[in-house]
Parts: sequence; C-alpha cells; structure tokens
Amino acid sequence: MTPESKTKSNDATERAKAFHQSDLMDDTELRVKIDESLASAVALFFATSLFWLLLGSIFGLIASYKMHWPDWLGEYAVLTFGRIRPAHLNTVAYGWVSLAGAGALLWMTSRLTRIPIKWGWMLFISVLLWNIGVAYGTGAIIFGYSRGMEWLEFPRIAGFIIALGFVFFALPILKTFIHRKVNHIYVSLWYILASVVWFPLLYLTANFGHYQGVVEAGMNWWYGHNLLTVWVTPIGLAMAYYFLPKVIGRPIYSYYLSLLGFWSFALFYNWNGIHHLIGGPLPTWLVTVSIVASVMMVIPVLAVAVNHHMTTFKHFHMLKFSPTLRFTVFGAMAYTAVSLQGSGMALRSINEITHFTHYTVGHAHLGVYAFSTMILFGGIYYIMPRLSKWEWPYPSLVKWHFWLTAIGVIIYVVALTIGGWYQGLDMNNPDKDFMESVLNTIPYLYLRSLGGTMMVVGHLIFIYHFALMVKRAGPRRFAPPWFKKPEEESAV
Amino acid sequence: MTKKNNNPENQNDPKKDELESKDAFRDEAESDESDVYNIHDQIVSREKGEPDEGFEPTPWWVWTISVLVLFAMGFYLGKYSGTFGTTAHEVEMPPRLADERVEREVRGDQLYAGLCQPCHGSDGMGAPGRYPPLVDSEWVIQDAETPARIVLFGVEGPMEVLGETYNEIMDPFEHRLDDKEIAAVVNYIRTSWGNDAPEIEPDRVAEIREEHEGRGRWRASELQALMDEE
Repeated sequence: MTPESKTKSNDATERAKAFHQSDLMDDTELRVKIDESLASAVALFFATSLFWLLLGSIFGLIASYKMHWPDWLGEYAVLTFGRIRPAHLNTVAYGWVSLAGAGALLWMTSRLTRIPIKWGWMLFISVLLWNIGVAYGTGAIIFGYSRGMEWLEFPRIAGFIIALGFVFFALPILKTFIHRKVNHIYVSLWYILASVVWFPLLYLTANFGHYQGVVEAGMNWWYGHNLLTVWVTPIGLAMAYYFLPKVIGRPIYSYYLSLLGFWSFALFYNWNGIHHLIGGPLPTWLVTVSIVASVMMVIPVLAVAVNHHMTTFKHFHMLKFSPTLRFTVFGAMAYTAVSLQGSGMALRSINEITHFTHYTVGHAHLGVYAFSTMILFGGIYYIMPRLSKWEWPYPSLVKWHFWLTAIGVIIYVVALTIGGWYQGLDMNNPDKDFMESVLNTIPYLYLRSLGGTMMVVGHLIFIYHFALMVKRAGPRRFAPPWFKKPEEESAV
Repeated sequence: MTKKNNNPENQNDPKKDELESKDAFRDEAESDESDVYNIHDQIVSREKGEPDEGFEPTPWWVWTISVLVLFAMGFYLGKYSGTFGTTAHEVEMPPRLADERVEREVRGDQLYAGLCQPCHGSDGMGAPGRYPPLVDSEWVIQDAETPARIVLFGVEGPMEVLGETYNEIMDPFEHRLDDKEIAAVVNYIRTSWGNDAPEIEPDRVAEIREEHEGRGRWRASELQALMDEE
C-alpha cells in the first residue's frame, strides 16, 4: 500500500465516522429490548420454515431418485414425479426461503432501525396465514389441483392467503421503519424495504390477473424470475450486507458500491424473466431486451461482489471459526457465481444448449441453495441464540451441517452443470438418437441424488440441533459454536 | 466483554421483569432465570456494533467494465431488435438440419411393429381366416420382389396362402415409406420367426416402385404371373 492510498483510506474512515456519529448507539440494553420484542414471532417463522425445509427437501430427494429409478413409488398418484417436483419447488420457495427470510428481515429491520418492532402482534397472524397458505397449496398440488404454471402451481385461494400473510408481515416492517431512530439508512434496509414494496405488486399481478395464451407464458416467466428479483435475492443480499460487517466488525467497504449495486439491481433485474422464453412465440425485441437486461446484471453483481469481497478481505481467517461468517461467505460467493452464470445462460448461443436440460436445474440450486439457503442458515445461527437466550449446544453438529450441505450442493451443481451441458449438446445433435441424450445423463443423476442426500442429512442435523436449542436441551454452553477457538473472542 | 455478566442491576430492574414475561422460551422448571440473562447478556454484549458503511471509492475497473457491458449490450439490442415489431423471429437461430450424408438408422422391426403387426401379429402368424400368416408363406419367402410389390402397392381380392384362401384388403405403403424403409421391413419379415430368405436392396425396391408407379392394389393372380415369369 502506498502512503498516498493509506491517507485516502484514512480519510474515508474519518468521513464514515462523522457520517454515522448519531447512529452509534449500540448498547446492550437496546439489543435486549429489540430481541425480546420479536423473539417469539421470529422463532416461529424460523421453526415453521424448517418444517417446510424438511418436507420440501424430502420431496426434492424423491424427485431426484425418480430420475434414475423411474418406477420407484410410481404406483401412487400422489407420489408421481409430476406432483412431487412442483411440490418440492413450492414448499422450499414459499415455505422455507420465504418464512426463514421473513424472520431474518424482521430481526434485521428492528436491529437496523434501533427500535423494538412495532405492531409485533401482527407477525403471529402473518406466520399463521402464511403457513396455512403453503399447506393448502402444497396439498392441492399433491392431490392433483395444481394450476400447472411453474412457480404459480398454488391455487389462487392459497395465493390469496399467502398475500394476506405478507401484508401482516410488511406492515410491521414499514411501521418500524417510519419510527426508526437512525439518520442513515443502512444498505440492508434498502433491500428489505424494496422487497416489501415490490413483492406484493408482483404476487398480486401474477396471481389475480387474467391472462391467456402467449401472454400467460410471458406473465408466467416475468413472475417466475421476478420472485427471485424482488424476494429471494434481496433476502440473501440484505443478510450478506448485514452479517459480513457485523461478524467481522468492520464497515462495509464502500457506500458508493452499495449505491451502484442497489440501483442497477433495481433497474435491470426485473426485465430478466423473458429469457426463459428464447425461441418462443414472443416478439423478438421483447426477448432481446430481456437478454440485454440479464447481461447488464453483471454491473450490480460486480458491485456487490467487490463490496463484499473487500469487506471480508484480510479477515478470511475468521472463516476458520465463525459458522455464520462461513455460511454467509459461501453464499455470497455463490451469488457471484450464479449471477454471472445466469448472465451467460441468457445469451441465445448458450441458451440453445442449456435450456431444457439439467444444466438449468443445477443453476437454480446454485442460486436458491448455495446462495440463498446457505446465507439463511448462517443468519439463523446468528439470530437464534439472541432469541432463545441459549447457545447452540453442539458445535460439532454445526460443523457437520456445514460440510454436508456445502459438499452436497457442490456435488449437485457440478454434476448437473457438466451433465446438463453434454445433454444439451446431445439434444442439439441431429445425428444422435434422443434416447442417447437421456441415457448419457444417468451417471450425473446418481451424483445429483448423492449430493441431495447429503443436503437432506445436513438438514436433519440442523433441525435436530434447532429443536434441542429451543427446548434448551443438551449441554449449557457460554460461547458461540465456534468451529475452533479463535484468538480473540467475537463473532457468531 | 464481560461487563454485563453477573450484573446485579439486571436482576432487580423492573423493566427486566416486564420484558421477561414476553419471553417465549422461559422455562422455570429447567433453568435459573439469572443464568438465562447471564447467557443472553453475554451473547448480545460480545456482538460487534450494527454494521455501517465505509466510503472507499469505487474501483476504476468496475466502472470500466460497467461501461463496456452497456456498450456491448446496446449493440446487441440494436442488432437483434427485430425492428421492434410484434412478430417473433429468431433470425440467428436457423434450425439445424441433419447432414445429408448421415443416414438415420432405419429399423425393420420398429416399422413392422407400427404398421404390420396390427393385422399380421407380433409372431407373423396373422389372424386365422382373416389375415394371412407371413411365416413360411410362399408369397413372402419365394422371392424378395413379391413382398416388396405387396408392401408398395397393397393387395386385394382372394389370395391363397399355405392352402387357405383369404379375402381382405391391404393398403399400399408407396407414399408412406421410402425405399430404404420398405427394404428394411421386407427384410425383417423374410428373416424373422424362422423365415430365412435373402435380403433385398433399397435400389431394387426403387426399380419396382418406378416400374409399377401409379398402379393400384395387386390381385393375387397378377402377382402369381410376375412370379412365374421370373
């Protein structure tokens, strides 16, 4: 580092201090009040989300086994692939990611606005309605009443119940935000507020508009991809922006990068959905605009990646002991990977190979699992001890959970990425029999099931650990579940 | 870090009691309250402060890449805009056709299963009194041209097969199958279920097709005459 740049960065630190002077009221008493104001509600969000995680990942595992053992469980209508697979998608998307994400957003909102949550009673209605909606919708899919549109399989009634549940989740966030005790609004809050406003618009438009034919297909993918835009990704990014500096104890690298990242994200991401319909009967310009916007996502992703990397840089040694940081950094890296991969996949020349293959499935899991789910795990490890006033009883279980899920999802994604690519080449090759393209995927499908099994075992361990903690069973500990003892006491 | 631990003030604070009643996890039977607060204080007081932002400048190469991507995709948008009309046309993705030289595999057994099996049966035995058998049939195994003629143009009227007379109509396949396919299905019939006759080449099928082009269904007597000629 040259002396000149050193002065520069000192200046930046001074400016940051001045900027945040009025916000530096991090006292323990306030944290206790905030945590207690939402302990039961957020814990309920987490606990029910874990139920859907378990159910959803078992659905996913059954669907995965069916890909190489096609006759397995085929004799029961409710367990056929056509029902199990959408049931998997919807339970993990609307049950696991949404409920766990909602819990984390609530806790972060309260912490970042420095006041206990307002209208906290609404959250119990929210969690109840939300779970009823997901349960009703999943039942409808399993018993054959799916709407038959990807990401929108739930019947409209289930959609209505979930939307209502969302209202009772959004109002406390908005109310709390209005009464905030900070001058400066931290970047995580930008994402939280954006998703709270965007998600209802998206969900209501998709569920309750009337569409037919090509427009319906267009709407379907506008919705499908935007669910990631306005809900899954903001949850993950808000959490990464929160937990990286929080655990490391150092400000996020650059406010300017945060700005660039957020506004280019808001500008480009919502156009992306139509790249799912390349080659479909939509106007060419519509598809092209979507591809252009998908590639433009390079800008926000780069901004976020640099911001996160430079924040964590020089602190990577903390990954050795902090579970929260390790899960979060894993997820943040996966976000960069999945987004750049997605920008590439939107290009017509690559899309014609990868579309309609297992490659896309690998991409989806790199996004919703390696990015979103891993960050949620990290967040729950951090938040839960503060809600339950109890440390995680067994650090070894955290270790098992991390390695099983991390290695599992890596096997899963790598296998499907390679297998799907070859599958796409085979399918595009007119000299090859179609069956050849199918049979060639079988080894990769076995690997997918292996990765999936590891992930489900990891989930079982995590849920067992969570249950122990809530019941305050197991040994009473007085330290975070460090992977190993750090030199300085901090983190988790 | 331990400044809040064992702080007697916490336990006597009336505010604490109020908050305590909201605690969803309270379980007096199992744990001593002061211990619970002890742990919680430890948890929240070891935390770092709430995150905030630094003000490092954006690296120059982030801007450079952003501008390059903007230009590249602007170009892409112009090139593939389809004149912003309402029609869907994917100019840059013409369908890729098979290389002419590469021949698709034609399988007689599959053709037979789809086209012939409904009448002649999977064992080639036909249906007694209705559809004649192909196994050992003189029309099938005597020479290769006769079955090719029948498959090409069909046959109708009374026909004696293995001493039994059948009177049915078989449709022509001249427009549905090409020479290779007809050769494949004829060869399949002539070499299956115990039949063991030499194969016919697609070129020979083409000659027969050309020779009799446009004719309708055969009668058994016409076929017999051609067989006798040869």
